[in-house]
Amino acid sequence: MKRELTILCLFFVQQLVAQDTTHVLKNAVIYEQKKEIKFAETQPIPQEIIHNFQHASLQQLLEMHTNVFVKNYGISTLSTISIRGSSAAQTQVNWHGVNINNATTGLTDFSTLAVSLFDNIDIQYSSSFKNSSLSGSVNLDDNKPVFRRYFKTKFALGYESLQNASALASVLYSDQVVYNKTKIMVSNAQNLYSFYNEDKEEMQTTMHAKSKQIGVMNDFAINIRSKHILSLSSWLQHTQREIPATTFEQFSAKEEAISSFKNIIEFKPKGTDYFSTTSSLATLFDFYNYADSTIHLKSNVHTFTLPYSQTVNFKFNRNNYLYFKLMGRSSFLLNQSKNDLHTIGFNAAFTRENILQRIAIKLFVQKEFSNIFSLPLVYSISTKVKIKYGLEVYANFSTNYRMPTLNELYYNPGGNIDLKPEKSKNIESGFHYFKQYHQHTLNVSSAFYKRKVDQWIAWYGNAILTPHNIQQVESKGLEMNLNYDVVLKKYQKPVGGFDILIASKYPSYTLFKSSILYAYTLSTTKQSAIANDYSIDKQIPYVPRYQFKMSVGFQHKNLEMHFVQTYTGYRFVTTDESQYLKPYATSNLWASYHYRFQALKGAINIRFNNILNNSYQSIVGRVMPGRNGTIGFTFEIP
Amino acid sequence: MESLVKIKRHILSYHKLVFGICCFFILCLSSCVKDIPNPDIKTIPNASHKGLVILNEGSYANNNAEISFLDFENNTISNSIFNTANNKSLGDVAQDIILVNGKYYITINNSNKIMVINSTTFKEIKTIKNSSNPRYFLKINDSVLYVSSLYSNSIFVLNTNQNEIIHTIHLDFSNTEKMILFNGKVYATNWNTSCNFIYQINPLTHLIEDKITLAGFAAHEIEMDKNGMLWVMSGNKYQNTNSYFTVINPATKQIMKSFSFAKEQDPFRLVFNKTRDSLYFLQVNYQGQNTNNGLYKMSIEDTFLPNQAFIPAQTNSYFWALGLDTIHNQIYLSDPKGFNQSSAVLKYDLQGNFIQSYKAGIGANTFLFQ
Repeated sequence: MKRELTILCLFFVQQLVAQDTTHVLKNAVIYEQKKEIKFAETQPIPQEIIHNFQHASLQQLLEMHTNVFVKNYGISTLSTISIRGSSAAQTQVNWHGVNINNATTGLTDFSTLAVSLFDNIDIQYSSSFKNSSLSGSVNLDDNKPVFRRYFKTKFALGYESLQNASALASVLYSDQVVYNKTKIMVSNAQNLYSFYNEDKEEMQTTMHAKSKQIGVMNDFAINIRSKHILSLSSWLQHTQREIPATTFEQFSAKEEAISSFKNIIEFKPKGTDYFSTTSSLATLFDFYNYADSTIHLKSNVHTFTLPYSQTVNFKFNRNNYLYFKLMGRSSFLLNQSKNDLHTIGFNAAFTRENILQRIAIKLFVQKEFSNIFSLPLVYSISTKVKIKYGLEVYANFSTNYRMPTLNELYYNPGGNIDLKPEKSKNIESGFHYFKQYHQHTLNVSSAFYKRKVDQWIAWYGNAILTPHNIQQVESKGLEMNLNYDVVLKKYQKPVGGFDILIASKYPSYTLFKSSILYAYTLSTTKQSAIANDYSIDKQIPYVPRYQFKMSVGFQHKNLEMHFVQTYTGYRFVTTDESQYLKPYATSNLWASYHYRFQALKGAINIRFNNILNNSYQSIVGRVMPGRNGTIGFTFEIP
Repeated sequence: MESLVKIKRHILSYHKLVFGICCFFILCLSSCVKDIPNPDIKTIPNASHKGLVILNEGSYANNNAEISFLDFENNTISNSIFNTANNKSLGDVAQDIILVNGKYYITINNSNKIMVINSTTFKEIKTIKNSSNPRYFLKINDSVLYVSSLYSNSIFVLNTNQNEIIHTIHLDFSNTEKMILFNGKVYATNWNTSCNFIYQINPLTHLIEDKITLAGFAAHEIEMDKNGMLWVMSGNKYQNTNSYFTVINPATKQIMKSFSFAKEQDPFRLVFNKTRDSLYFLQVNYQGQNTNNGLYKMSIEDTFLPNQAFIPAQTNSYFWALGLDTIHNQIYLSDPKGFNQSSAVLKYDLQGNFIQSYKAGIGANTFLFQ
């Protein structure tokens, strides 16, 4: 460790000696807070990727740059994810820390989430004390409000070769007291592409696949007497889309209208060095309308969810922390009376750091009560050990549960009010290694995990689908994330950044960048209540055993370019592995050029997807687009 | 000099690290479960053998309907026959199969098509498209089939020589179901919950001649007993329409007797025995509980419905296909096992004793003895 520190010091001394001019620095305010210790695998999405995907949905970003598996029901239609062999409902999407999964289905449709609406995106690959899902979460956040005089507008326009267009406008105003950021996103998609239909043995062009979307997001915060912060985040979204026919259907007249209105009000009174508290209340309205005129079917499901919490953080000294949270959540099916689900409970976490100057441990316990289920006490124990500078290992054991959704309980026909919550036991260990030597930077993290879920909820049936608690599913596997960067050349003069807040993050370097993501997931049925079940020891449907993603690229001054190769292994359609979809690989290229013209700053983003024009299906009967491209322009006026 | 040695050592350690990571990756990539699936060996059965053709409807929206064949002569089952013979999928939700002039006709409900297949080679002869969610066949003669439809108010008249729909009989409601030909008349059920009658159709003119009123609404099964009485099963539990058996004298069009099922009962699939004095039907409990779940048997002379299953379904299971082998005196049932894995075809004797199980395709729903 001394050796590394010496090299680091020498590096800085060298830099200082090289400067022969004296600069007087202005006052600087550092807003970054001490980072919370992570006891499980977490993947923040780099800002340059978020910026390049400004004109895309979150599903496209996750497919290319994360270890989650995206189950895509076709272009512009439902997209759900599986983390470490989970079902879609076992993953959670948090916005400002609040679970926004639809209370009816327990799902979030990633094709409706525009990347441009969020400043920060990260993936948590397992459950944690702030994320009660069985398998992991996608966390969507905006930058924290900064109370200083500032005004910025940003516009973005994008066009896809599938004849899809999108636009984004963003206005940020802040002063010493008020912070307000508004984003408006609109998109109009034709989703037009040709593909070979193997069932009909002919070339086809997508029909009945149009979609329109509008999203308005507003983050408002007020600094009360420079002490307390009251914030209100609102998000209104509407999606209207046609669902195209599968390859084996003659036509489709299916349509969806999906609307949501979400608000989160949060109050943070001024704390001390040893104590802080946050109160949070959210209102989540979800409206889902489905129509199929060919069979005269119309279905409307409207839900209202009210999550609330009171969080208290104690810091006893430099190394001991206590987190305590009182929480509740009520979900209502608005067009059906008496079909409600209420929970109330608490959780607490105690963290001790720097044991023997190397070890951190966290203990967590949670108890909730529900009006329908008896919920177990869950707990976790986690530890992280710093082996040497740059190398950390961690391990954790946890128990958890997932309550059935309103659909699983009350869906008509087929809902099952006798369902019990899914219960899991998880064990995970891994390491994170960081090494910087001269111009080389290496980041490697890997996680090994095993999870056993009892009372797994599966939908069975054909004409009438009914959820049952009948399986025990065991998921185990390995994930790996490797990043290797080399500075090829260094420039003295800094180049213009894309965003003034992150301008400093764009260095004046020529960099070679590479990353490898690898996921091996074995998710198999271990027990079943069905007599002579053929699915025992077989991989559960739509969980690929293998996923591999590789990216190589460079950054030269204002230009950044990456080639991304993905591989997704066999996915089984049935629980007994009797039917499957073949593996697929996509080759993709994306580039960004950041420019500055007088006061105007911005970027040109280009993306070529599936450049080898491979034909593949994410799920049965839904052929994904072949070669396609996107171009986007971003303007920023400070 | 010392610093140069240090740098050299660093470079060496760096290379070791990269080498270590490469080894780790190679190990990860090579040590896991083989990804290539290992499906059952597929064969085309010998069509000259006596056996049971099993139509597997597949799971909805998965395009995995298939044909299986249980060979009575060597007691083996062949699966995925259509795919093996044609290297493509049969379609999405197969509903019914019939053998006419050496050709299988299969309705593929959610693919809106009727497949015509050579019964020896299982090769596709023709796809009859745009047949609006076809449901069940009724053979009028070697040249004409009636085809009921789920979402249109129609019965299609199919010419088996041209393999084309040549005429459409328009009805009052959508969702026509099973039909029967008796004494030169076709009697057609209609599963619409607003419909409380069956149609009497003249198969020569394809005209509706009469409507015979039932005890209940939403008729979906029809069979004839040894006395020439029509047994009509009706009802739709999930649309709050109670189920009934209505026994009709087709000559007088009078209701002879009727049986009312309880609200929570959901009967379907009606089969008569060889002497047509006993009938078998299924009840399904989608929750997988033991009540009202299994194969039920009653005599045509009974005055009440059976309250105990003749062969109960196992917990978390239900039966989906029903067939009676009148030559070997055996009962065939299928357990679809949730429709997301291979179904089990179960063989019983006429006393309800289990004999053997076979692994068929997904959602076995229709048995055709040949």
